[in-house]
Amino acid sequence: MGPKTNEQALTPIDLARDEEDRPESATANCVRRARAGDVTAFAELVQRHGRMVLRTALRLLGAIDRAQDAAQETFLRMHRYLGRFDESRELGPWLYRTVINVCHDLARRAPPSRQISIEELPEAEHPTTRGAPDAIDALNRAQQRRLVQAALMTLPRKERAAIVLRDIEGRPTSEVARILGSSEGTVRSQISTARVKIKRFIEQKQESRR
Amino acid sequence: MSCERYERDIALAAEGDLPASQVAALEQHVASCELCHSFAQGIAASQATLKALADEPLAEAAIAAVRTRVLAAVTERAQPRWSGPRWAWPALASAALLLAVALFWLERAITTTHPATRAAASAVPATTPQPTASLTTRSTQRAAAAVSQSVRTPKKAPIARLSPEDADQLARAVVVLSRVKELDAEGAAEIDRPAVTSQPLTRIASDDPNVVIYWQFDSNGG
Repeated sequence: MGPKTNEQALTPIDLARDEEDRPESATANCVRRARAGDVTAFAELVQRHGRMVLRTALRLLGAIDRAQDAAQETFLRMHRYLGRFDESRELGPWLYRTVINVCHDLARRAPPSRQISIEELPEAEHPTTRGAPDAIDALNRAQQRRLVQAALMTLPRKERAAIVLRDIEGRPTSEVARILGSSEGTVRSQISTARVKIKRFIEQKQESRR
Repeated sequence: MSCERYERDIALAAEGDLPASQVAALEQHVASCELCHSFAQGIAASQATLKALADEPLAEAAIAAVRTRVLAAVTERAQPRWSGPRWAWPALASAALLLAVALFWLERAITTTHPATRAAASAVPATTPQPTASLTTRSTQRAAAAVSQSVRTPKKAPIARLSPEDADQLARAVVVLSRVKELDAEGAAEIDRPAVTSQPLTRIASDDPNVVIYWQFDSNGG
């Protein structure tokens, strides 16, 4: 076993896959223009961060329709409060905090009516694997993802937010702590507990299927 | 030795979250403990699956739908919006209220104590037969006080209960006060205009003791 450093831990997550990973100065420029009422600049911010916000909401809520509602509300809050945003800070962490708060509010106002089984969990489109020779592998991977999403939904709210930010979004522990308003020690405790729970959930489900 | 406490460290070390000072001791334990070695392998497998969620493609249509909904909502509320601090609106409302009250009291103070009031009062002759006393500053103030009192406590001191003398004074006061306002508007120099001094005031009594009509003639006799 070879423990990794923080820097190494970030590399598996392809942080450059989204629009939001463009140079921060360009984002700051957009923020400045959007604050001045430039709707085009605001639309550009939505374009850059839309994928990140929707993906985070999906992992926190587990359903694409609710995630879309959360993403919409997140951007509307951004529009409403952009005037108060400190331009010297990065927009990304602020958006993460907002989407987590929005998801929490949504979950509190309208909790899922019943526990969703793994089979019912939504599955995203997989255009690259559809019809491919290794379709069975792709199916297995899809099932694994649904299993992990189901495991995520069993976690307490704070543990889920911490593990989504750290392991799925690939943010450093220090940044996760700042986003969640917790200490790094607390975040480390939450993510270690969450990882163990996810491992046990997956193993338990796999055992029951055999 | 209990391996339970190592589970937490193994879970942290799997993604490089364990402090470097503890890594060596953990590796040494995992190398010698079959249970922890197995646990570490299990954590590595579940973490790989967990992190695969990050690579799961999101349907572009889902993202586009959010973008469309957001921009539609923003365009709808595209009116210029106040972006100042949240306390600004209540503060502005309070300031406006204070200003309105201050203006109200200032106007009252001017109409009862302004020198123009006294000057205008002496400029209006009393031509009504009963009572015939000239309107003085004191009587004007008394009448104005009666108006003020009736406005403040209309149920306790209704205008209908004024004595005929007070009613006359009240009517004259109303005339004087209205003239003072005109003078304020026209300028202090206008206060000695002859037209003011020639305006007679006529009292017309009706059958109803509570109804008294006052008629003021202008300089043209109209």
